[in-house]
Amino acid sequence: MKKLKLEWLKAFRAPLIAVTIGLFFGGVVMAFSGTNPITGIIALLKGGYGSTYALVTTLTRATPILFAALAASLAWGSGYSSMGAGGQMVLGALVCAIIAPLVPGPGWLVCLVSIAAAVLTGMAWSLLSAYISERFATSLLIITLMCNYLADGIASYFTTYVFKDPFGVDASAIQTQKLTVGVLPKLIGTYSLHTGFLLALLAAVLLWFVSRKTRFGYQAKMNGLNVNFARYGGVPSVKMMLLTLLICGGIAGLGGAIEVLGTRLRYVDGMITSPGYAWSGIIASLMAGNHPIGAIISSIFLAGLTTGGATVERQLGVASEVTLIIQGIITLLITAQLVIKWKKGEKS
Amino acid sequence: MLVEMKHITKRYGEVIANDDVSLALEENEILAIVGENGAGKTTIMKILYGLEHPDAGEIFIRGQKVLITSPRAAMAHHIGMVQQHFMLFDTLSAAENIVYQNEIRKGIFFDHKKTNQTVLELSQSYGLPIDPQAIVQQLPIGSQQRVEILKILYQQSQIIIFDEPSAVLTPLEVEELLKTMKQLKAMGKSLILITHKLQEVMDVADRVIVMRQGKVTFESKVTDTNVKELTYHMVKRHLNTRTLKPQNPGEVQLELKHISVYGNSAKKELDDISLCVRSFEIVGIAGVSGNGQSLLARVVSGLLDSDAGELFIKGQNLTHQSVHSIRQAGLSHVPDDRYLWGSAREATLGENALMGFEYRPDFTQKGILKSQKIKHLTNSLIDRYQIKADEWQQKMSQLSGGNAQKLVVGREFEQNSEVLLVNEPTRGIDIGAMEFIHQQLVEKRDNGCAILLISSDLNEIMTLSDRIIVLFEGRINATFVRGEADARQLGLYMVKRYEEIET
Ligand SMILES: Nc1ncnc2c1ncn2[C@@H]1O[C@H](COP(=O)(O)OP(=O)(O)OP(=O)(O)O)[C@@H](O)[C@H]1O
Ligand SMILES: [Mg+2]
Repeated sequence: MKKLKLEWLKAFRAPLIAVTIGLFFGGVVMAFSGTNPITGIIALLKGGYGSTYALVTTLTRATPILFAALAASLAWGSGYSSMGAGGQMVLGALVCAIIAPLVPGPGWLVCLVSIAAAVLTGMAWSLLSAYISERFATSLLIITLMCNYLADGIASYFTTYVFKDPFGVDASAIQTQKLTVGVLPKLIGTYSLHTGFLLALLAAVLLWFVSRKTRFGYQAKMNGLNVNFARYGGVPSVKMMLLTLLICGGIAGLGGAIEVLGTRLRYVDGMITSPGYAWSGIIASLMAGNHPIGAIISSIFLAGLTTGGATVERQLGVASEVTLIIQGIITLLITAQLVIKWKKGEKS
Repeated sequence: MLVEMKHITKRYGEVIANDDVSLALEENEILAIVGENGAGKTTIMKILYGLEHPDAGEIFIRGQKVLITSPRAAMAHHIGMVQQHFMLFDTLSAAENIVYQNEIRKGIFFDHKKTNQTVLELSQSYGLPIDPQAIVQQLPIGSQQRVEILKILYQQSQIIIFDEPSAVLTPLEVEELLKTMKQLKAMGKSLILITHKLQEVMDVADRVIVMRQGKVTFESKVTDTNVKELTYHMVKRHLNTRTLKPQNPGEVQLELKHISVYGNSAKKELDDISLCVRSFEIVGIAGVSGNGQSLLARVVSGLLDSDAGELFIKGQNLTHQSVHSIRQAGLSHVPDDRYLWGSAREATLGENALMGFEYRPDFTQKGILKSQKIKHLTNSLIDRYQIKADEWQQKMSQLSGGNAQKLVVGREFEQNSEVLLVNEPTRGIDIGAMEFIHQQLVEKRDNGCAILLISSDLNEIMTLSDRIIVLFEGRINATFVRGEADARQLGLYMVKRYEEIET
């Protein structure tokens, strides 16, 4: 039992090292731009997590990241290198924003229907990339990346030409109509944090349960660790792939919908892609070793970096790009570690 | 004294893999290390090769104390190791693999011509023939091993460690290997050989060490000992010789009708295989590995679709059916490669033990795993098959090779299915455990199980099989009933078409 705990703690070592090195280089960059790195890093962390306002902003930002991270953790943990969360979120968000104003009835019904539509959209989009990858025997990684561009294009087109907000004061804003009913309630007073965050936590716990405690999760995990072993044991590989990617698509689509219903209350062109939610989500999942509960922590951490970056820029005049550098270094270290692991596995 | 390892201790958590081990290797000798699975043989050699670091103890080379922190450092001391799982790049050529990390360059470019030339000369000077340009993954296992050995020789190693080198080789390849080892010794090298095959020790080694539970418990000159004594020191008991009680075979449980697999070449890889296995019998498939055995196993287990022919299990036509339906119909399968097919190294013992059981109501309810039951299953496997393990949630990769094999074998045996496909069940297993597994197989047969046993170990085939089928070049070359053919005769049918023998 004692040893198990240690084993569990070990999972934190690699990401912590990566984070430390990332912050160190962040400090170096700050020093170059004439800021005391210690003050800078402290300001960054304070600005990200150090006050109610900071924390609430961070948690709000962490919500879509966590959904993307959960989708990625299931896919990558089952051995499918899917980058598709981005596109699935975009289309989920778009469909949610289009459907919601059309649904008559009380707020909860609007929520339910538009969320369901978004989940289905995410699933369909994910299935499409799975099908293409399977049918033409092409890498899922590449197909999902392509599908992301395609999804972004589709969403842009529809927000610009078909569903553009007719009542907008600013005619240049590429966005859909603002929602009034079906909006997710806020959690604390007028702070930005909304119930969607709780939904994300719930999704994480649920996914943890499914992936660690059910037959499906077991089979998916074995499939990811050694696909030959899974096939040998009778795990139906095609069915597993479709089912896994379907669920991933659903989670990502849900994430898109939650961002619309909780934060933006409409689809705004680029609202998912420009903050890089999906990308951060994938990094968060990798940092957590594709563990759904771990992904909560890493998602909040990455979201906090961005929040803190904005503060540092305001307070100390350090360009907020410093957070991009930190995140970039963390990404690099985590993926390098993955590559090493993969190579080791390859050889032995 | 060439190498001295003094008072080496190595722990993994609570497990003591090496407990105050001291051993020495003399100039120009072959030292054999034998012992039960998990005795610590691989660990002590990994320490010498710099792959693991001891918690205590010292290493001396020619009297000088050395610190070996990595395989690179070992290389600098002219120590090389042929590991049980080859460390080759499959898609590169033999020559590229051999010079890896010591590339021959022309300016900044890799000099292919000179590399191939050098490797060719190297292989000729040691009498280890190899085609420098051959791609590694297309080479038979025996040649891949030769590439490993040449790589080590290219690094000018004087001390060469072999960890169970013969486990995956065909008998002919083993003979070649033993010859090579003797020849290397004649050229002034010093060798360490880890093996479970005591006859190999008697054939090539000068001195032998027995390890047991992390300690060296016996040491002798080979000329002063014998297989029986070594066996006793390894397992601390005397082993029985096995005799098969005659049984009347029952109904046909497994049947193959005209199974063929075409493959890419003009010659069929499996050619018109028809055979049946009845309950209360063990049918042995003998043959030099690479003559269709692994394809046959994959067809029977559903991992590979045959191009022609039919497969029946308990009368049910299962041609082109999934692995799952075949397992449901009552087949369990011990695969020939425990890490490629038989397990997920990064998963826990429990997760590895569960495979194939995950649809049984004992272990899942409405799709939810019953972890207490899985724990119980795993622990009972650990007990019954004497797997040296800490606890059921440790990683598979932490088990020694033989213990991992025991878990895979045990898992499939405990399915208690009526048809059993066993492919090389005792690969890497010590003689005590081998005896146990053989006994289990015989018991299963006596209880009515239908067993198809594939093995490249002729002894295993001859002691266990009621009928023997010899596979050669993908065809059934001969069929014998128990006692009808001796090893020499079987050996002949393993290397020559029957048309040539019988005319
Ligand atoms: N990385 C590891 N983590 C934990 N325990 C380990 C690790 N490697 C080896 N062990 C344990 O150390 C002991 C000795 O292992 P080792 O591999 O040296 O055995 P071995 O004598 O080579 O056995 P085999 O004949 O099965 O190959 C075993 O009990 C094994 O479980
Ligand atoms: Mg070993």
